[in-house]
Amino acid sequence: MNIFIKSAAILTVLLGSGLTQAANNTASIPMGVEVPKSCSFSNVSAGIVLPEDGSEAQGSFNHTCNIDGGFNVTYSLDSRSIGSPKVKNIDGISLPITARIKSECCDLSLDNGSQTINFYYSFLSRPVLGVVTAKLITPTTATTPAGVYTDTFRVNVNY
Amino acid sequence: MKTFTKFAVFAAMLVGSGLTQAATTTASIPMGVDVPKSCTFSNVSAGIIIPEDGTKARGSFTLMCNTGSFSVEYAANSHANGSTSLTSTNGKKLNTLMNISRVDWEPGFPFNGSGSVGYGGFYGIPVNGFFEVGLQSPITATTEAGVYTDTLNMNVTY
Repeated sequence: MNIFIKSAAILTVLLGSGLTQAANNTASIPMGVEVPKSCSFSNVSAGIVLPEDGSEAQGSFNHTCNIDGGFNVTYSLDSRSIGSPKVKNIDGISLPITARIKSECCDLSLDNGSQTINFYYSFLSRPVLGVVTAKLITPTTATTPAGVYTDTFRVNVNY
Repeated sequence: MKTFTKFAVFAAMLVGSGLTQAATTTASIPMGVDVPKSCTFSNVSAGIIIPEDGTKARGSFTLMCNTGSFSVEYAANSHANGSTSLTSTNGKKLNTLMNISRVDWEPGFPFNGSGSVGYGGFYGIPVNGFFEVGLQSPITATTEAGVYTDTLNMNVTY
């Protein structure tokens, strides 16, 4: 009789384990997209015509980034890489100029080399205006050789 | 004398009853095995990279059960107000559109981030399901940079 009772109890336990327990199993699939950092220019002036009388001319541009901050912008004149700023014609004759860049916080001279402005925060998707101004240091005269005198202003956004 | 004879016969019967009758005592031990119900996921996509242009990417999974009837609850972590989204570490959201297909031979149906599907007759038959997810609107130049994520959870009850 004792044997029978024990065996019946075992059977009940075996059956009970399957009939009464609810069971679950789980899995998960992560998903995502990475939006890369990017900056772009818009409304960039096609060109700046410097008046012959030495008055100031200006050009402008906007740059917009999809990051809140942490980027910097460097402004430079090509001609500044060799001596002081100037416009130069095809014959290599140059006319000295002076130039400045204004953007957000700063109004900086480009005469002594490139300039950099750091943008720390609050610039997410906000177009940032930059204005470059330039002029001949000395007005042209009747003896100034005829020709097209050029230089290039460059803006480089690092992010 | 008669009395003695009768006594002897009676005694013989008493003794005989113990020596000649067969006797057994039995016991039995039932035995068995209970194969518990089980469902397992396999071939679960490790991760889905969602295209930036709004097209959908696909994830898949296989579910195998040793019972014919079970149900699967699908839930996206982002589920809220009947829609789904990806969230960046900065808390920015990009809305997504999802489809879920219960089995691989039927087209997906729109999934708003939470739902349950019952399965019947799938004893020992692998269920190859999949889901698709895409951005509701393509990413533009003004979309904040970052890594945007969500997770689809599947919970099978059996």
